[in-house]
Amino acid sequence: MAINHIWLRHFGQALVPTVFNFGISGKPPSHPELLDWLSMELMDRNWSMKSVHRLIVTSNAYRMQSSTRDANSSNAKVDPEDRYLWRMNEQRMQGEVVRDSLLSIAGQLDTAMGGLEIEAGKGLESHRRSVYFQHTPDVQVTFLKVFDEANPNECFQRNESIVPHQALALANSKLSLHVARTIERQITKQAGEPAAVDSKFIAEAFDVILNRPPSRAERSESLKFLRQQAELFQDPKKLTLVATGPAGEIKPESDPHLRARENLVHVLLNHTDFVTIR
Amino acid sequence: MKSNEQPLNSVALSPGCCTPSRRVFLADAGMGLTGLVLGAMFQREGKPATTASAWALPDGKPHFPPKAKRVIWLFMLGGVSHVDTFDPKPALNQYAGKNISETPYKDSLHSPYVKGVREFVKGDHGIKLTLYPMQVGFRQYGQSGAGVSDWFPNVGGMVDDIALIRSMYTTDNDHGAILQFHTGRHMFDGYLPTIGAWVHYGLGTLNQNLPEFVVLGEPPSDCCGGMGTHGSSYLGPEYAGVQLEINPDDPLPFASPGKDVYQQEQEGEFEFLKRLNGLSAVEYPGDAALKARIKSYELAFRMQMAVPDAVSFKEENEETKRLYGLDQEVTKPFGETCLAARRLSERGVRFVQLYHGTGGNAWDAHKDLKKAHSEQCAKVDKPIAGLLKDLKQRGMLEDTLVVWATEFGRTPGCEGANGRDHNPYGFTIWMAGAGVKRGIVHGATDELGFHAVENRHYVTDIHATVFHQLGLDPRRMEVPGQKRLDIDYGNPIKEILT
Repeated sequence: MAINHIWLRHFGQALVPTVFNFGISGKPPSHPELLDWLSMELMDRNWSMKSVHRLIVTSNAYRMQSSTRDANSSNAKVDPEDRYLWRMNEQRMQGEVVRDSLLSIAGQLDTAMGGLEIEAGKGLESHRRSVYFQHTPDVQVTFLKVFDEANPNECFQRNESIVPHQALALANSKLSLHVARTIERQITKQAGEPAAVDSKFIAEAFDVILNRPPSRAERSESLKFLRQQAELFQDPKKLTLVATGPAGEIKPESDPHLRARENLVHVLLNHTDFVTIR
Repeated sequence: MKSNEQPLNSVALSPGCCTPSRRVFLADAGMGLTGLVLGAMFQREGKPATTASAWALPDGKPHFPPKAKRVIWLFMLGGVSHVDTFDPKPALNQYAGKNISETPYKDSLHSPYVKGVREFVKGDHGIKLTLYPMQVGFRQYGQSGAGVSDWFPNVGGMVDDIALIRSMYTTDNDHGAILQFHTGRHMFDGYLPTIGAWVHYGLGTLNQNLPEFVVLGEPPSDCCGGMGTHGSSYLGPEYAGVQLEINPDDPLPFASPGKDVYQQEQEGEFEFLKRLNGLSAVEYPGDAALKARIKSYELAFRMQMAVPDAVSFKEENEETKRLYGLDQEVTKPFGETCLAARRLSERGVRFVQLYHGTGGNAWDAHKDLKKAHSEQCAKVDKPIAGLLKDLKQRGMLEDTLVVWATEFGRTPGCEGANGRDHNPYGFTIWMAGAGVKRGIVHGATDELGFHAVENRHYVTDIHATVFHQLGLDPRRMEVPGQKRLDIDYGNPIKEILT
């Protein structure tokens, strides 16, 4: 049972798919020998979960790539659901990880441990880790809730929905705007302000937010976007402000070019690769 | 892929007429630059190529002329007692306190129907033998004269507009029956696409600014299907129901980025994001979540304005609000949900699924049935009747199909001192509007309300009826590699249709 849960959290799918039911009405394991072997390993390692985590994440199975682009097409045909682990599954970050990552990449995550639980209403202002917030059937941090936070009553397996609310949470929340504006200032300080170093800015932003360099196509799209947005801000009279909602603590950059950079960072926070673990 | 300019259904109609390249071309033509990327992605994924050449994503058009444009699906969680609501049984009062084996109906204990049920936990929810009288009076309503209990006076008053189906049965004797009612399969068979997801998959949207499949109210917990009861399973995450909370103070979380952002600035960002995600989609052609995320961002952008408007009641007059019971504490919560359902339907949402009765002993009256059911009925009776009246007065009942359903009925026998257990063997649901006959009673349970005996219907017959009214043939919505069984399709209940 324990191994099945640990496996589920690393691979996004459990060895026994009915995680809440190991009885006769449950589904049989996809890899019975593996389940048995790992269970024995856990016991032999004095029930050290850390040790089993290490065993799993250093395995070949764990280190497979998730892209099916160059995959053998017969695999996709025979096992489209990847029950037999011919590739890694993509997983979406859990809500807590999304929120903590936002703060972390801006260098603002408060990693202090312990203390009283924090009011759910402070979910967007507090920089403490997400685990410390109030989490009851009635009160939850909205930002975490839309990303399928654990059901406070029972949770065997997190749901991994993709709903427009998540898009709005990342696109419109003051947390993500705050983080975007913060990161833009940090990178600009490093890379410099002139448009001539935009490529450097882009590479750095991709690295900080997505942990990888931009592809050639991404770089040219990004450069185009920076020009377009900067042009937009040249003539604010032609623009319409969004009528409602609270204004952010950090004001947007007044320089059109730097504000465009803010936009770029903000978009990368909304990029599918930011919330996806591959 | 749901372009409205090109009749893509020719692909499905005439096998072999179109090569994948034409299909991809059409899709691309309808979707612009990202379309090219997405088109390439669908192609790479090999969905069309791996199967019969005739397969294509549904084109969003009905297969035959529909009677219904949209569905409002009211689902009571926990199991409503049919014998105390829409299927009164005087014999229960007559033989109250007697063991079924001592009554003229003793044969029903040995009916083959008893064997049709799969136990979730062996030995749980056995047949309750001591008959328990109806816990409330009933009377005949309307011209149809159908008997409805005094706990549903308002819906009773609308009985001439609805078709009662008193001969439902299911095969799960526990709350997995919730999942079963939505997917058509026993919970042991796993999570499969739900009725709402199929409708979303099969039909195009009527309003680009709102989700096609909206879920209101609290879903059941994990024991009983959880999110799976409005999930989309192998159809892909973009077809799952989108939950909206009805909270007039905060109609949509994160609906606006804040006053210091320009609309055009935001639009530029979403446009750029779509391009970047499109590039990733080429890299990860098998990532269904990525595809769904691209769509969800497009919808999110449009929803920012549309949802707060749809779930705000500012423009509703007092008379309408009273109709749904918004003026009374007891009826207000579900009244608001029903009113929101009408407003969403009015704006083109195809499938609105309303849950009622989450948690504990709401409808699931293993004890204190009289107290529990009278309270639950009082919460929903007026709002549901109000919804029907409102749809009718707006002319919307003509093309809106309303379904009221629950997971199973409750036993004619007593559980403990004053409750009823689960009764998967026979129960009642009803439908109204959109080509459903008005004021009829279809099918029947036996004298005790134990087994459905006349015109028996499994839950997928309800799915089939909904599809039929929407003009969809579920057999034409096959997904390659996913085998469906005959029982998954059901048969439309022609007897209740005009």
